[in-house]
Amino acid sequence: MRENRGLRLRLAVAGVAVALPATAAAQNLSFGDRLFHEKADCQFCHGVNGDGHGDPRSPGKGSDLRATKLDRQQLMDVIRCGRPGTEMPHFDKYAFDDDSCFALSAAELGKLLPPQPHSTPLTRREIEALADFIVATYKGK
Amino acid sequence: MRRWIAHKLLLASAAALGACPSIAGEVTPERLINADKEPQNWLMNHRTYDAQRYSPLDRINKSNIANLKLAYAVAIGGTSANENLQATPLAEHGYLYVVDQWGVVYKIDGRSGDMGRILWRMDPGQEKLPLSNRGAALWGNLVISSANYPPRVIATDKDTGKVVWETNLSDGQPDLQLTAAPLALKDKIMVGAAGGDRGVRDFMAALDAPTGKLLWQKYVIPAPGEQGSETWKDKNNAWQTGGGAMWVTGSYDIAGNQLIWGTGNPVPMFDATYRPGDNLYTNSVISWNPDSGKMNWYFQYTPGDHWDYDEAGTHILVDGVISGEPHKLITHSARNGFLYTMERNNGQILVVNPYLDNINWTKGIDPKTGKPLDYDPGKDIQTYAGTATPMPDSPTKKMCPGATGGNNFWPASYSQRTRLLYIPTATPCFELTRRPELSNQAGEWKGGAYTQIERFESNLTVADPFTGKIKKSVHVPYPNYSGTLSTAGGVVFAGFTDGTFAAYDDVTLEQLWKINVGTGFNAPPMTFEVNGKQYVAILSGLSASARGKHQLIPELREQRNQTLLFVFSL
Repeated sequence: MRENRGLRLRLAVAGVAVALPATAAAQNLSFGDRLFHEKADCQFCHGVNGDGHGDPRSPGKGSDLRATKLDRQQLMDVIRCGRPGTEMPHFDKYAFDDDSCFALSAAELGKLLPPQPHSTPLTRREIEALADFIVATYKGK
Repeated sequence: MRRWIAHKLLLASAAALGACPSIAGEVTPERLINADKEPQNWLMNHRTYDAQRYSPLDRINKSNIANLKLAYAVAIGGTSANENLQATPLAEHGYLYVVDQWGVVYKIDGRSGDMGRILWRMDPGQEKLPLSNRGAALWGNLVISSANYPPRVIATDKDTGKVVWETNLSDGQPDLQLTAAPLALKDKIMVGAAGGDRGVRDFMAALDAPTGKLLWQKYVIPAPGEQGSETWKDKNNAWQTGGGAMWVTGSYDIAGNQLIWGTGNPVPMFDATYRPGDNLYTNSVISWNPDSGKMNWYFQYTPGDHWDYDEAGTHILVDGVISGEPHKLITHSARNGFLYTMERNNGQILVVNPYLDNINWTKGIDPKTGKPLDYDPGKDIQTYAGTATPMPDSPTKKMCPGATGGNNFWPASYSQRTRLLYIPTATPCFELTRRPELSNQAGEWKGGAYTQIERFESNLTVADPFTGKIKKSVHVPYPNYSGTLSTAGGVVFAGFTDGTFAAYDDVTLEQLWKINVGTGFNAPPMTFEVNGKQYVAILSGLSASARGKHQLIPELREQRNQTLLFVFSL
């Protein structure tokens, strides 16, 4: 009987151990969802479904995230640094304080410098959650 | 003693009734026709059917406005810092009615003057946010508002906040939105459809005010075979997705029984090659018979548009003298940068003059026809001056005014005191690139993309609608996405996206007062009076589009966004 209880305890602990990462991942996706649709307002340009059909009054042309070829790291780079010469903003407030984006400074980019977001800059953790959300929800879907 | 107390109670209740006539009075068609005779109230979107946005109230005036201060504020809206408010509050006997972007209607008790208590909220349960919601109408004992997802017109009991009727106007078009405040007249509710930029065929509709039953519905874009369909020369069935949104409330000519309503741009907005022709009845003002829905006349400002020079903005009715003759007129500070004044009964242009000094899309407007001088009726694709026209071999052009136009949904006002117009004017040029791959049936309707190339700033411009002359202009280093309010106190109010709300002398344009509340304005100001005291009210909270205009304004980079009702008094 004691052995059984021990086994059940071990199974329960293992279950928690398995469940925890799944819960954390779901929370991270939920976090990314809120960033996409609310705080960072990515949906204004990329559309509520991420298909690039954003608000007609949005500047530029939001890319279709369902067709993106970028991997998680590349998505994070684009969110952090923006896309030079387009309306894709840089969400890292300090992206161009050094040359960590494209090995170019703001002065060197000149008119091609990506704009500031109309919503808000994001932290590294938020950028990671946003990339995870795009990969899990839109890419290839 | 008991009799004396009873007598006092009777007097007290009589006094209470006198102070609160809303108990006794419904908003009848007669009251709406005579809205100018209720200076204390603001009964419809533009205050009166002539859309002048002029208030006869003068307790707040040039001599005392320096003492204006915040009386109270009320938090409005849902949970997101990305919401915006664009409604003009309505006021009746100290009660305010506002609508947020979720279509939620609020009744606020502002009678005390030191707080605004929310008495009820009617939440229509929108699935997501539309572009905006510009307010409500009052009719009978109902507050009439629009809501979206799906697009609906809703009548709410003014006393209880309970829904009385709800009419779905989705018309089988999933991207159709209702964003203009409805207009109540006679026994009808007039509704302009919007969402045109997403490939919607917009329309004007009339509902039966007591029941919400649809009485008539007329499309802005004619179907094949209908008058005007010859101006859609494409092979894309562009008429089905051609836009012409009616997203700002129109005006009503009481004597002539004409509904006057501006229409939006053709779609795709930046690619005229998708929809060759003049694209009637987009970018136009249309006179409708409100009883039958029959079109009386129209005037089109920019045929075959390349620049999103949509003319849904207000058309103001004024009476005045031109060349020694008295006229009943309509005046419109058009998004294309020109001020037009026309005959009210047929739309014939009498006066036209630029109110911006950097217009480059045309060489000018023919004062006789009102058409651009370089308009060629023989051309399927208008080139106009060429300077700003993106063409297949030169798809990128500098356009002035920019894509927001000179004047837009932020309304001008007309002062009966000075007989002048006060026009909030956007001054920047944009760079536009035509991108035909963005014109398709898959839901992409821009046809191009614009870039801001200079700081987005504005003018407050004073113009004479009877001569077209610019009398004065002051430059402001921030966008005016809000509109103006002029008053008998000799004061003109204007809000700005940097959070400044300011008052100007209506003759000298000297700034008399200002406050910065830290969150921007893209809703028009209004004024009302209760218990002998005048108040000025305005809603805050910027749209993504408005905040995007801060891109080249570095000092506003960290500005946050909040949706609030601000009420000011002496």
